[in-house]
Amino acid sequence: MDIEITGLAKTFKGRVRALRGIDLTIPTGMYGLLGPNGAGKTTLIRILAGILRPTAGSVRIGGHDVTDPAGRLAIKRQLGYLPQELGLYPDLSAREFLDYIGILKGLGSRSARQARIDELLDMVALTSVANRKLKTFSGGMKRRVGIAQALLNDPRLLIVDEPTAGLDPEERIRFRNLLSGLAASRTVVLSTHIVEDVAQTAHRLAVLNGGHVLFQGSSRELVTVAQDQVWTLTTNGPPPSGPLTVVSTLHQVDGIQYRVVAGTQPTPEALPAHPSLEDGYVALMRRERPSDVVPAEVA
Amino acid sequence: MTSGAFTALRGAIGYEFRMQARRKAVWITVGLLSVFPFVASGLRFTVDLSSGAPLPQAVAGWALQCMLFGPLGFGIMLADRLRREHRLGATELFDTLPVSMDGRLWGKYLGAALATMAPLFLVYAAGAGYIAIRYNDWRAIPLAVAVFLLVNIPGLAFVGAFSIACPAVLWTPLYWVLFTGYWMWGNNLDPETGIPTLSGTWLEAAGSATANGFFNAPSLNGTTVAPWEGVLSIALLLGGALVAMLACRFYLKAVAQRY
Amino acid sequence: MSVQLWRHELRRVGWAVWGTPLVVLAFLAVVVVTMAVIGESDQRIGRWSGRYLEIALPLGAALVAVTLVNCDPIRELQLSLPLSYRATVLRRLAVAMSWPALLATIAVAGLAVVGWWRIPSSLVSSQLVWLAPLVWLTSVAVGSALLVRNPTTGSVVAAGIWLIELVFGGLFFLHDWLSQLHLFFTSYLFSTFPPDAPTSDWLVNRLVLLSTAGLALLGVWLLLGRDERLLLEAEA
Repeated sequence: MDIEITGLAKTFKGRVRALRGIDLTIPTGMYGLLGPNGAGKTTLIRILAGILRPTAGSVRIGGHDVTDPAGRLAIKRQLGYLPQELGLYPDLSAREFLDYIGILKGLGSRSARQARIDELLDMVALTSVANRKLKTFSGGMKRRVGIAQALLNDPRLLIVDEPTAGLDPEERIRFRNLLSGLAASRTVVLSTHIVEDVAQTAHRLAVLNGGHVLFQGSSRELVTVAQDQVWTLTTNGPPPSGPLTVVSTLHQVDGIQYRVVAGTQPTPEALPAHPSLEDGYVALMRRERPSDVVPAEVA
Repeated sequence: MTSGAFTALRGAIGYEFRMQARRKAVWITVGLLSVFPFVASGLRFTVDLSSGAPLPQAVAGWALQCMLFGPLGFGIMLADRLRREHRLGATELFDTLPVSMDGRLWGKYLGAALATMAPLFLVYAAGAGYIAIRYNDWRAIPLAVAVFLLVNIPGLAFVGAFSIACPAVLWTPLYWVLFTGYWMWGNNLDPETGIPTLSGTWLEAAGSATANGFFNAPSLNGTTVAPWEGVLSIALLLGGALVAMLACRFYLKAVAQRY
Repeated sequence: MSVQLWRHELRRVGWAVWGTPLVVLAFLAVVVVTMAVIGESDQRIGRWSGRYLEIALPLGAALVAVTLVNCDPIRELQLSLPLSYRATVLRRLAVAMSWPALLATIAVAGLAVVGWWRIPSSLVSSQLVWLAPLVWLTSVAVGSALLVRNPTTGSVVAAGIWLIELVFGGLFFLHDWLSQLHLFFTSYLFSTFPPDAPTSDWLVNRLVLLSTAGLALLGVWLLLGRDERLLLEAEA
């Protein structure tokens, strides 16, 4: 289910310009959306989910126009959505909650709906707690309920906003694997701050900032943005300073190891390193803020 | 109270005041309800200003007029404050802070109540200012302050305390219903109807006992009370407020200890 | 599916919607029995019951109905579903109005059986005593809450209108047209003030209230269709 976005703009209350003319093509498969807070990611995916209307531009999903009520309804019938803040009804059990959402998604047959719920509870490993009230669930368990409800109608378009926020490493890996498996036969839009989630699952991605698209392409292409700009250095002295970004600081026995992204070798002792997706993201952001300079006294 | 506890209380009052004062709905609803009786009576004060009535009587009558409906909005707008922390998920964070529950509770009560009564006070001040001009007497200003403190504040403190405390044990919508019914029954119902009511008694939060006892302002049922009854009314209302807040504190502590 | 959906919605409306009208009607029962025990006349009991249902029940229903607006924890998810959120809220509103209506019908039936229902109209049309103000006040309360996106403000609007109509009810009888909008027309017919209140158009008053309630419900329907407004939280 391809998504074509042309000149998409969204302005709130006539003042806040959340999106400023986005052009994107999202093919079938896993697609990552990266960007800092306030970049416009959530606004974009809410428009895709048919919750917000664009101020200008066009969005076509599987041939349907989101600005058209009939088109929006057609999209919603094929949509699975996991919002960033998924409240739940605490007094319902997981099974009851999924049953309610299933009805709202148009799954009329009770037996078919129950079978689907059983299947999804098994997929997200919640069968043993299916009849417990949601208020007793941990954060990770609630997220799994969230993904289960998104899959109730076997959607062709799955949109997940920060799905792994607050999850422990195993939960996060389980989620990533689940999403990757789902992306084989549908479009999955993964909006996140966590670059690693995109690196492990998405071949194609876009980076938003300030309502603009800074980058769209493959993960490999984003990595190359940081080519020849990533360095590691170990020092017992002051931290590196100047026009660079410290990506990691690791205290070791023989000193502190820094990994930095900088246009030029920051110190004579710095060694070049292979860039990662996160490095590419940082290098891209540095292009947006060329005046970023780490002062000498700040580590 | 240690200096740290006092600082925390002061901070809680300040921020609760700011959060409540930022709600446009507080200003609009409480302000409109406070001024409505004046507008509905054809822009007339309870005490006819051209009748030669004494200044204190005119100011106190105006204070009562503002208390006819204003506290209804005041109480309802305060009733969602206690549950709000739980609804926003902030309770857990606050429970880890060194500031005591007492500090947070009293800070919420005092800060939110002060902000919520501000529109009522502004309406009152505007009217009192007009009375001062009509009487051409600058003493109306300090008198207006004294009247507000004696007539309005005890009732607002009483209503505010129950509006903060009761939603701890009642569904907030149910409290809205009961409070609205109480305000009609206990402050607006004419005692002449024969239905037992708090109107015209020492426990009337609208303040007619004080307004009549101290300043000879006309009360709803036309009776007059002695000044000592005004003092008793203030004591009962403030005492009731204290009891409500202490009961709330006791209940919240018991609930916290259970977990 | 419809039955299953309604079963879910009955749980969604919350305990306040179920419990508050029960509290209101329980108070009616207590007072009515007390009046009977102390020897009040059937006429007085009947008129008091009618006034109480007209005045108290709408307040109890309206102030809890506003909680159906802006209080759904899964609102964003609801807005992304094919079954419209507007339909969901209207279903819950129907429950919030139907439940007190059912209780009132049972209460009136009980009063009529004992001979305490003294509204000067047929048993069926006399239900308008409580039905018209209930629908009107609830619609206005919910509409206000939707307009400002805050249930507390909606409840202040409803409570304020309720109190003003009670305290300043006499003003509504200064003009014929205004009296048609008075929520507590029945109560004022029963009272001795104002002595020259019109007595012949009680039914017109009730029907006008229902018509204007319909307009308020139309406003509710329109406001529920604006997803962006529903999503963007009003001041907390």
